[in-house]
Amino acid sequence: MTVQLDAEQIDALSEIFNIGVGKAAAAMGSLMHDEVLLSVPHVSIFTVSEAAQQLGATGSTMYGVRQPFRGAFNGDALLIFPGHKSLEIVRIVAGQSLPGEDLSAIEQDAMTEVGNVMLNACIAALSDLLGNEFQLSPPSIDIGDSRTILGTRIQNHLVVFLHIRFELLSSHIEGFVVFVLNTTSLEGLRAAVNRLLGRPAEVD
Amino acid sequence: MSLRLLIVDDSRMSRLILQGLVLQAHPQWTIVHASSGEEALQLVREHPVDLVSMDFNMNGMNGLEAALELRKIQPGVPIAILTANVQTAVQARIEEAGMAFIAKPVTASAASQLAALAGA
Repeated sequence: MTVQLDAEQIDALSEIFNIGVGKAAAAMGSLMHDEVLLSVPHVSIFTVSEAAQQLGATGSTMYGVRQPFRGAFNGDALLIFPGHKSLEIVRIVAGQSLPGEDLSAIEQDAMTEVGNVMLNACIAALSDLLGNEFQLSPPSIDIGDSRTILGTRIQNHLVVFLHIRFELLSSHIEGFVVFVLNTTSLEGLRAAVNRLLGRPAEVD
Repeated sequence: MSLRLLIVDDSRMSRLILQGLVLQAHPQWTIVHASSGEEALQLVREHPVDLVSMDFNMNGMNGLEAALELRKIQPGVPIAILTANVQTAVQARIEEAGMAFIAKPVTASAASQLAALAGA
């Protein structure tokens, strides 16, 4: 299968993603009591191995909250933080509300909930823009290097890789929001983008 | 006014934060927790509640399925679906089913919306 998105489709996808992550940043700002700065989104078609390199050096520990979605196209939305920042994030989110709680005991639960709020906001914006509802299962968390975070995909498989870097202004916590779509979902994605662009359906 | 509030969420943190916010405003309320829809139904069978906050995306029954079952056990109980799944289609389905929709994150505003459902 030829994996192609033309410049206009990539531009549209970047903008959709930008709006989605903008909504997610608003949700995260509310949760973290901070302003969230966003980079320009990037849309690329990579092998899994190349995508892992984009996320950081092999061996560095990260937290990755995974939100699978199914609909007109399928994939995983991921919220990725450096591992050494996790307790700080939990303290910011829950410290005031849960005085006396052992925050390390709820660390994974809290990180999952941060991802849940942020990724769902992003997926909802995509859903509303594209006119497709996505079915969501509960999020899960992975801890490990970038290859672990990207999951058990075969390293030389191609994926549509959308990523945006964010930074929390006061606490200087950085992370990524990443959407990984298997190329089998590319036709659905391309059709949804074409509808948004007002293009006729493509005929192979 | 003393009410019995059932908080259903698979995130313990979310349950604790909501509990904290509700008790700040209504210290006389009794809060009971369930981590799944199935556990919530069991609790309500054993002891009726006055108000329910229900997460949507949970393993097993989702929040709306659990809420509809809960209404069969205790008709008329006010139920809010408190969820991060803020897709318009999901919100519409929740509201068509007669439940209130409250968007996460759990904030003081969300807790106030929940309390308002019980007239508090």
